[in-house]
Amino acid sequence: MQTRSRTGPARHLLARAVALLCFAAICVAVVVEFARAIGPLHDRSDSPAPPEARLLAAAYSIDISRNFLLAARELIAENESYVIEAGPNVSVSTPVTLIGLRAYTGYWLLPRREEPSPVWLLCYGCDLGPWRDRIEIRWDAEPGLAIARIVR
Amino acid sequence: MSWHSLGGLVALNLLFLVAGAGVLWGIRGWQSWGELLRLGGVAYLLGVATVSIAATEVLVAGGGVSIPVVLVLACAIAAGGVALGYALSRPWPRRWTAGEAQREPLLLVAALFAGIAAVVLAALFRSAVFYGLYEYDSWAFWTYKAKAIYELGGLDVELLRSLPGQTYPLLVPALEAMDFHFMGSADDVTLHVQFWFLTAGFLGAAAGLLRPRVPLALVTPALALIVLTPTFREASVHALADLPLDYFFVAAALASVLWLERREPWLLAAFAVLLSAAMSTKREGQLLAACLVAGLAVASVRQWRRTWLLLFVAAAGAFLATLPWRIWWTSHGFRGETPETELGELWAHRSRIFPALRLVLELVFDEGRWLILVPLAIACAVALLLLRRGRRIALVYVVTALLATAGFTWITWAIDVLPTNPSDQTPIPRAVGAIALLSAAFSPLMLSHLLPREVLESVSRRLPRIGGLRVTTGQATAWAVLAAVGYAAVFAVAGLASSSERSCPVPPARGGLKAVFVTNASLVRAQIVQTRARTVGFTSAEVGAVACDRYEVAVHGIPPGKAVEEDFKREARSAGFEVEIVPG
Repeated sequence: MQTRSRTGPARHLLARAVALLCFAAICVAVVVEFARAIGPLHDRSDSPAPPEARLLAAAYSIDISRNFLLAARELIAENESYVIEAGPNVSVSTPVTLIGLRAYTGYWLLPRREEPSPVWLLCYGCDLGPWRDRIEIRWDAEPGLAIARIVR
Repeated sequence: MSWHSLGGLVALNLLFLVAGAGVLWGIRGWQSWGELLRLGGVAYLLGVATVSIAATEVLVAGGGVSIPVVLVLACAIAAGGVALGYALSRPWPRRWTAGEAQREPLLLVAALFAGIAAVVLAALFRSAVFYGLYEYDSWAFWTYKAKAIYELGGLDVELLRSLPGQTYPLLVPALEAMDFHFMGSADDVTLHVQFWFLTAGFLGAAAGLLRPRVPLALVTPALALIVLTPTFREASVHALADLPLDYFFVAAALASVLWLERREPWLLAAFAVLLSAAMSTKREGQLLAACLVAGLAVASVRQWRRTWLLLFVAAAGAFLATLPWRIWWTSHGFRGETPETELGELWAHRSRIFPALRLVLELVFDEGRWLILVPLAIACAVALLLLRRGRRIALVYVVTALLATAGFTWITWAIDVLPTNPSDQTPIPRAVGAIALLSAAFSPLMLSHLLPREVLESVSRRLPRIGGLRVTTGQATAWAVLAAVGYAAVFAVAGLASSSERSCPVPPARGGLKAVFVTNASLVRAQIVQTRARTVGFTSAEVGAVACDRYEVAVHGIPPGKAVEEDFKREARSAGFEVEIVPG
């Protein structure tokens, strides 16, 4: 390591003072931030979300019905397909629910796939009228939501 | 979190370590086991990088990443490293320590800050094992792709086409798919521990690369500051690609700048592997790689004859590994690699340039996200340039950071749907993490040129002795580990002590008889049975709790009498139900 400098002593001192200040700033910042952060870190680790919330974390965050998702997974076999129909006939707490519904349901139900000629209809506030004569409802425990098998 | 999943993750990450240790032995060798321990983080990152890049190539070739495939890949990589090591006559370590131990100034300070970093890491681990998949980008595409790879056995063109970010590189989905295979299920809760391993591996790699040149007293406070930044505390366990990209990029930057200083060939090889991993993790990886290579080229302009060719060959080699994926997605007609704004359009919304630059600068210097990481590094760089000492390091940092700032400004400028307000939804706050972490990792290196060992030793001598306490490097490390283990043990015991039985009130019996269609079922199972029962005519079928999270479906108020009971059962049986009549 180079120990001598061709620069002037004033510049040398200034640079060293800056370095000592930086080192001190790092040490102080760590101690202050540690004191500030460790409490919230404990709290976050000590009170994790309950297991059912962890399993469907995004469904909680964008407020998709958890029972709807669980029932869909229970009813639809892994090799079967489905279609999602969303509509205004359900009350949602945030518009993000209907925006994220298709993506999250797709993620949750894998390896089940959404396909053009599906076996199952997942109705999230949709109008069941046009479907009435070709479906068998298998789950409708929450207002505006239904899971039905499509009869061919 | 399940122990089975956690065990699977640990096994996979040990496999990464073994593969990386093989690579490290091949490209470098080591004199002692202690040296391997010091470079364990580097070995781990090299292992994650090589196995995951190989896994993406397997996916592109139409294969899957099942356990046997991953085992073959990891063993082949480790064996390749060992074979290279033999070919280059690398020595096999026979001692624990390499030569004479170096005196470490301010070791007590180093131990204190190592302990702080270890405690924060332990707290992050506790939060990782219970963290749910909340982030939109995770379930909308990163982990979505991983789950699809795991469930469908490989890449599915139509599914990928339907997702956002269809051209995004595959390293993180491939890594998560390997995790799922080793966990035995798509456990997207325990998955977050993988990101904790990457975090710990990165910190270990940074420390390993900086040592032994940089005194421990400069390394551990900087690492503690990294883990304590608000963004890092919040996002280091998120199942996203941003921080893994930063880890690979910053480790590549450290390896390359040390190569400029020391000219040890293994550092250039490590740089190439880590840079390739950065480019295979996110599209921004290519931008950051270009910025870094430019920074290195500028810093080595006086030695360009013996530097540039090697540098460009290493960077080109790193880029080559990303080509199969690029060829795959272009051949399938995917789009969206870069902002699609043409030059004319760019000029048309030139009014966005300054708001975009302001946004990037605001985010980089945001103390609420990154504390003082960037101002500190800038101060060190300016001091180095003033002092004309370690100028190459300062130049690499300054040029790379400036170019990255310009690059992120260009992204924000070019994509006009991106807001230029830090409070809105934009990927830039996560992207600038690369600049912040680069600053954090370069600070101790730059400080070591400004505050050589002699200065720290003189500071150390002037400090009052605490009862004549002297510690060795080994003791300092042991203290840090003890702090983390002690912390984890205390809170594990506290957690066990505070856990209590849940109380789940069950409604009182109504009297009379009830016909039970199903009992002790989950709520949705009970709801499904109730829907079916109502559909076939048992319109008064109700769902009721029988225990915690356990439910029954029953028709209440069945009149007493054998004949009535038998009639009800017969009717239910004809509809496909086996009911039981009990007092209710």
